[in-house]
Amino acid sequence: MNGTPRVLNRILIGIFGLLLLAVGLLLVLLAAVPAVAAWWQGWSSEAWDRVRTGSESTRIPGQSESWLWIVMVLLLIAVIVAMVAWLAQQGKGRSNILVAEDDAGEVPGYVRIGGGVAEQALRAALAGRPDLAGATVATYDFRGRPGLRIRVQPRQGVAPHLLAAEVSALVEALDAVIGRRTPVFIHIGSGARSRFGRAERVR
Amino acid sequence: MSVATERQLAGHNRINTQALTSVARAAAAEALGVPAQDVRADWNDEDGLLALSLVTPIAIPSLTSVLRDPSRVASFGGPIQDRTVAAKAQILRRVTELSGAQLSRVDIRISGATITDGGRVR
Amino acid sequence: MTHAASMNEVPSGPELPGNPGTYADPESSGEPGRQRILARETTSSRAGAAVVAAILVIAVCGYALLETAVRAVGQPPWLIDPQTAADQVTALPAGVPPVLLGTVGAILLAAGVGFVLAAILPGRRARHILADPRAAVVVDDEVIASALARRARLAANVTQEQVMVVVSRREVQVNVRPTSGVPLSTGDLQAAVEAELRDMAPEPMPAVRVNMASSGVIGA
Repeated sequence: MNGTPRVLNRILIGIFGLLLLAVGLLLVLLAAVPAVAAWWQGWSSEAWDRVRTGSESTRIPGQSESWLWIVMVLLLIAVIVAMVAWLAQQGKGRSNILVAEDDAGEVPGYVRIGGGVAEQALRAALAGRPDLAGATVATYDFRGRPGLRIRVQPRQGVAPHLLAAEVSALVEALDAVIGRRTPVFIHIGSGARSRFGRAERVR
Repeated sequence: MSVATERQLAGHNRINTQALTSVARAAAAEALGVPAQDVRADWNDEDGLLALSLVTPIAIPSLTSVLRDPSRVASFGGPIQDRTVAAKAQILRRVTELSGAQLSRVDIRISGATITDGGRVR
Repeated sequence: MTHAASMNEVPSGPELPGNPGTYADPESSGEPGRQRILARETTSSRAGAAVVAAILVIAVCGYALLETAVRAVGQPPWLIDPQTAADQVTALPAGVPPVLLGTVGAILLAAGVGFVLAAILPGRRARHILADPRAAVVVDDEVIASALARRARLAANVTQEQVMVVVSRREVQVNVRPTSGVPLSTGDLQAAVEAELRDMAPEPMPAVRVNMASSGVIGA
């Protein structure tokens, strides 16, 4: 659970895929079909000539090159920056504040409750359990609001619905202790192995 | 009260920042049930008045004990949010009482939890 | 009954968790984002493909940038002058052996199709949703299989090695090798697993199929 931009990912990946597909298709056709080769040679050299005359007419006074190259450089930089920003969005989303309230009560000043409170409380409550092989708690940001992500790894054979009910009860206890209900996401998992394969086999 | 002054504060006494900080930390510790050394206090000037900023853990009952007995939350003084709001007022009163400094605001950030079962930690 | 679909299953639109009446209405518990969280956590984010694509684009653009900047400043080119490159590209397939061209093209084509599929296919993860009034709960299929295997083992009174459970999105397959000389009732076993599954109430609820092996294990 994090801030990875899923829709954007799919859109950009799709565009990238289409570009690769188009270029690949073109190369295959050029290699295989002479008619395509002839068409390509004609069309592309015409297009390139037009670009060149365009660049002739846009020379920077006093320089030997046209400013179109500068535009090209800026464009490339823009694309690279956009790609780096896109990369940085993957896996984002951890946050730290669970509750924030300004000027409550008689005295001015904010009250902020950090995610660490919930994390420590839940981890401590889950720690001694014999039916768990591990538990992690983290605070994240979901559409501008804080949320808790609880990941538990039950031992072999543990019934997930019973475990879910108990963890859910602990979360309700946490609600009472903190004084606010935060959205909670519980992941009952088996570690990293659940990523691979559609059908899971267990003895 | 110490004589050396680092700043002029509204109020009758002049008191140095170190002593003020100790007072604030002790007041927070008492209000929230944690050791004073775990409390961090920072000061800012706000138009001539003093703004206090605290970062501190808070004592809470264990979640399993709350499940068994929901009244434990009340025995700690209520939910964290209510306790912290009340603590703001309590701390402000205490600091003003002991030092005469006029506080304009008290900010509190709860950074963590001290899980205690069987009464508050003093 | 068809087995769980493979990667090429035609998607029927973004499949959100079903009827909200199945678990307490998320709106009433103050969590309007619950449906979205669940939809997110049961499908792949494609972060891996995104990283690969981004890095490739950065590499290509970075190199183009280098050559263009060098040219714009009037310096000699580093590897290939953009002008020369353009000349060679427009003259294709002239300067390049067709086999090489075709191979490179095929590779790019395949990669392109791969990325497009990654973008379009839902990429469902091996997980199911559990009903809960307070939290959004998601369970890995492996955990479900483990719990069902245990139940089946107890119901059939056999050892762990004699039971294997396969959980996929819409089906649970229970494969059992009975003990030699101790016949098992498929119906009873099926009822036991189905009962456990009903208690669990995963979403989407899979159908149970019990496969009893024809040969037994001796002396288990």
